[in-house]
Amino acid sequence: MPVSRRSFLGGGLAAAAVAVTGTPLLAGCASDKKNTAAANSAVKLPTYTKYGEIKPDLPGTDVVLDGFLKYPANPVKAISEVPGDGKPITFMTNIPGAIPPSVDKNQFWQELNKRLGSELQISMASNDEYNDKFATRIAGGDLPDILNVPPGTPQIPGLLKAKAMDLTEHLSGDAVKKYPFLANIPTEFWKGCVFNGAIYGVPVPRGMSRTSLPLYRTDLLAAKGIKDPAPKNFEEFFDICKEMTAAKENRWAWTRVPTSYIRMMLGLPNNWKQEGGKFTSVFEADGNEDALEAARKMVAAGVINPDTFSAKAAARKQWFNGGTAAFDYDSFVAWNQYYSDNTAGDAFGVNMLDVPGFSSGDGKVWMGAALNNVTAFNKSTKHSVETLLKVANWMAAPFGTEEYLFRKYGVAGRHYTLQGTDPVPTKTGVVETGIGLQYISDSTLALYWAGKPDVPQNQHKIQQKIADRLLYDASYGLYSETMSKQWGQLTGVLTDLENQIVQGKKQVSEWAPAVKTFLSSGGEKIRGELQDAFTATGGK
Amino acid sequence: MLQRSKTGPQQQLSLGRRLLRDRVLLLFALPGCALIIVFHYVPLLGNVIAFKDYQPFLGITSSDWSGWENFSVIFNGDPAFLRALKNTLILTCLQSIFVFPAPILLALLLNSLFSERIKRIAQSILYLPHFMSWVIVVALFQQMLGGSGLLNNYLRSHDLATINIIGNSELFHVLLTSQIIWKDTGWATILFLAALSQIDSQLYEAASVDGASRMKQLWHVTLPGLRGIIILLFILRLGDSLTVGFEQIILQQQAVGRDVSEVLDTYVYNNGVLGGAWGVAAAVGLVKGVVGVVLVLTANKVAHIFGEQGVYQR
Repeated sequence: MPVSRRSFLGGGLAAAAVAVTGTPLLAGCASDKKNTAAANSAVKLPTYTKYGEIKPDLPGTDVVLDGFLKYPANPVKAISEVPGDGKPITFMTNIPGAIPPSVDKNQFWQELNKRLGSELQISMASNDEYNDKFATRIAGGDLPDILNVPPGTPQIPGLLKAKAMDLTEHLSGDAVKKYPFLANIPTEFWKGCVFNGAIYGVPVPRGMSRTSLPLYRTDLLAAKGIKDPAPKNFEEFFDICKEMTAAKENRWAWTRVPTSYIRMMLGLPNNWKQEGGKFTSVFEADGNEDALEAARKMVAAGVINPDTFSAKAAARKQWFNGGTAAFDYDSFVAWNQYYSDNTAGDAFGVNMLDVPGFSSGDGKVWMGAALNNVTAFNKSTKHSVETLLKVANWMAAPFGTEEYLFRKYGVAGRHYTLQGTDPVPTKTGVVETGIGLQYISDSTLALYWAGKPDVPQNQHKIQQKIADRLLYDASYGLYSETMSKQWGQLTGVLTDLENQIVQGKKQVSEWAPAVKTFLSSGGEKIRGELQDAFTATGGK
Repeated sequence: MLQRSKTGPQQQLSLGRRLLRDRVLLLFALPGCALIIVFHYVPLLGNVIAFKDYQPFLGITSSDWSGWENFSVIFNGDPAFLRALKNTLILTCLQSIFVFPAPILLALLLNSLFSERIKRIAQSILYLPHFMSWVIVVALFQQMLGGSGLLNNYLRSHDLATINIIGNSELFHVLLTSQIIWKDTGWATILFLAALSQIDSQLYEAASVDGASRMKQLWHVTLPGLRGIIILLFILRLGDSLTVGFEQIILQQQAVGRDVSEVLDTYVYNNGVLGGAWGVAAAVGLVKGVVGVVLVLTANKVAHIFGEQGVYQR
C-alpha cells in the first residue's frame, strides 16, 4: 500500500496512541481490523457536544425531542466557512417525496450549490426503488463521492471496507469537535456507523422521530363525533375503526393492517429483545397468535382498505390525505410529511394514538430505528475527507440556525413566506427543496411546524406520554453476519405468511411451524451471533 | 448459411469474392451484429459469477471461486427454489395451453371478417394493449377489479357481495394468464395474419368446388398453411418458456405472497439484486438459460424429424 498523507498521519497517530496508552488504538490503521464485536465496541465514538445556542420552547429529554412553537427570529448563521472545494460533489440517495425539478429548473438547488461552494450532483431514486438502484450501482462499481447506505444492505462491513473511507481519525473522540454539528449528534447514533473496528460513516439520526404509532385524521374523526380518542383496549380501538368505516362511500378506517400496533398492545419485542444475555425475536415471542387473530378480525370486519395488500407506501399516503382512510401507521416524520402534502385544506389535522394494553392497562411502544442510513464517503473520491465532512457538518446544522432554515425551507419569497418568524412553505418550496439533502447528514429532528404551533405541541405531548414505555431493538449496533445476509429472506417468508393469515387465506396455527422453520434456517444462528456479539461487547 | 450455399451457383466463388460482392449487405448487418455482441454476448461472460462467491463491491475478478457451491440450491432442492420452479412450470403450462393458441384463434376469427374496414379497426384496437407497459396494465386491472375498484364499488353500492380477484392467491395464476392474453394476443396475431394472407386463394376455391365446408376448409387448407409458422413460433416460445413474466409478477407479488407468485425470474431478482446472493441467483439464471437452449434444440430436432423447417434448416 502506498503511503499517502492520510495513512502516514494515521500510522503516526496510532503510534502516538500506543505510546500513550500502551495498547494499539484503532485510529488510522483500522482498515486492517476484522468486523468483530470486540473491535467495534473498542472504537471511541465521537464525543457528544450539544449545540446550545438555541433554546427550545418545549424542552426534550434524551428520548423526547425538543419542540419549537416559532422559528427563532434572526436565525444565527452558524457556519461562516464555505464547505465545498469548488469541484462538483456527487451524491446518491433515495427521496421520499415527488421527484423534484432538475437543477437547471430548480432555484433552491442552484442557491444550494452557491452556498456549498461546490456543485452538488444528486442521483436520486424513490424510496421504493432505492434498494435496486443501490445494488446495481455497487455492482457496476459506479459510486458517487457521498453514498447513502441503507442499514438493511447485505454485508455492509465488507462493502464499506472495500469502497468507503475510514473516518475514525477524523471523528473518534474529540476529533469530531472540528465539525461541531456532527458532534451535536448524540453518541448513540454513531454506534450504527461502526464496522470493521472503525467509523465508516456519518449517521442520519432518527430514533424517536421514526417511532411509529397510528396517525389519525382529527378532522375525519371529529366529523363522526370522536374527539381525542383514547381506547382502553383492543376492543375499544376496534370499535372506533368500525365507526370510521363506510365502505359504501369508499371509506375505510385504515390504510393498512395495524399488526405492529396490535403487537405493541401485547408488549411484543421491538425486533429483538435481550434479557440476561438471551435474545428473543419478535416473531417467536408469545402473543403473536393473538395479534394475528386480532388483525384477521379487523380485515374480516372490512375496516381496512381492501387494496392494502397490493398497495405501496405512496398509495397509502394518498388514501390518508384524500380521506379514503382515517388511520395510518407511521412516524413523526410522516406526520409532518402529511401536513406538507396536505390537499384537504385548512381543516386537515393529524394526531397520534397512544397504545393501550391489549385487554387493559398500557401497551409498549417500539422505539424507532436509530438510523435512516449511514452516509459513507467513497474511498476513491477526488475530494479531501475534510471537505466531505464539512459538507456533512453543514447539512447537520440544527433547527434555529440560518443554514437549517435554508436547507429545509429554501429562499424567502420563492420557497416560503414569512408569517411572523415562521417560514410557511409555498408549493414551489415543497417541490424544489425535496432533493434529499437530509440523507447526507441531519440533526436530530426538532418538533416544529411552520405556522401551526399545535402540531409540535401534540407531538411533544404524545412523546412524553410514551417515553417511559419504549422498547428498544436489542440488535442495534451488534453485527450478525447471518442477519446481514439472510434477514430479508427469512423475514420475507414470515411477512408473506402474516399477510395470508390476516387475509384469512391461511390459519393462525400455521404461524408456529413457520417460526420453527425461521429459527432452524437461520434465526437460531442469528440469535447465537447476536448473543456472542453482546457478550463480546460486555453488554454495552 | 454456408452449408446452404454449397447448392447455389456461388459455390465456386472464394470467401473473399463473396464478401466483396455482399459488402453493402454486410455493412448493413454490421450495426445489428455489434449490438448483439455488445449487449447479448459480452454480458454472457458475467455468468462466471455463478461459480464465484461474488461480492459486488469486490468485483468479478477479485471475488473468490466457489466451484459448484452456488448450484447447491438446485441440486439439494432448496424449498424456496423448488417453490419458484413449481410456480414457473405451472405458469409455463398455463401459458402454453391458453396463451399460445389464443392469437391463432383470433387471427382465424379476424381473417373470417369480410369487411376490410371493420377488420382494420378491430386490429388496431386489439394491438393497442401491447403498447402499454406492465405498470399500466396492472394498475388498470387493479382499478377495474381491485378491492376498491370499479367492479367491487358497484357491487358494494348495490349491497351485493364483493369479489376478491386482485390479491387473491388462489386466482393469481389465472389472473396472470388473463392479463397476458388481454395485453398481447392482438399483437401476436400479426404473424399469423401475414401467414394467412400467403395462402393461395385458389386452394379455397378448389376446396369449395370439391364441396368442402368452412370447417373442412379450415382443417385442410388454412391450418396446414399455418403449420410452418406455428411450429416455428412454438419452438421459439419453448426457448423462453421458463420466462413467465418478470415485471408483471413483481408488481403484484406483494399482495398474494411468494408461495404462489415466486417464479425463477423473481427468485433471481429477490435473492440476487435485493438479497445480495448474486452467485446463487446467477447459477439459477444460468441453469434456466441452459434448459431453454436444450428445449429449443430438442424441439427443433423433433421438427426436423417430422419434416418441418423448424427455426433453421439442416
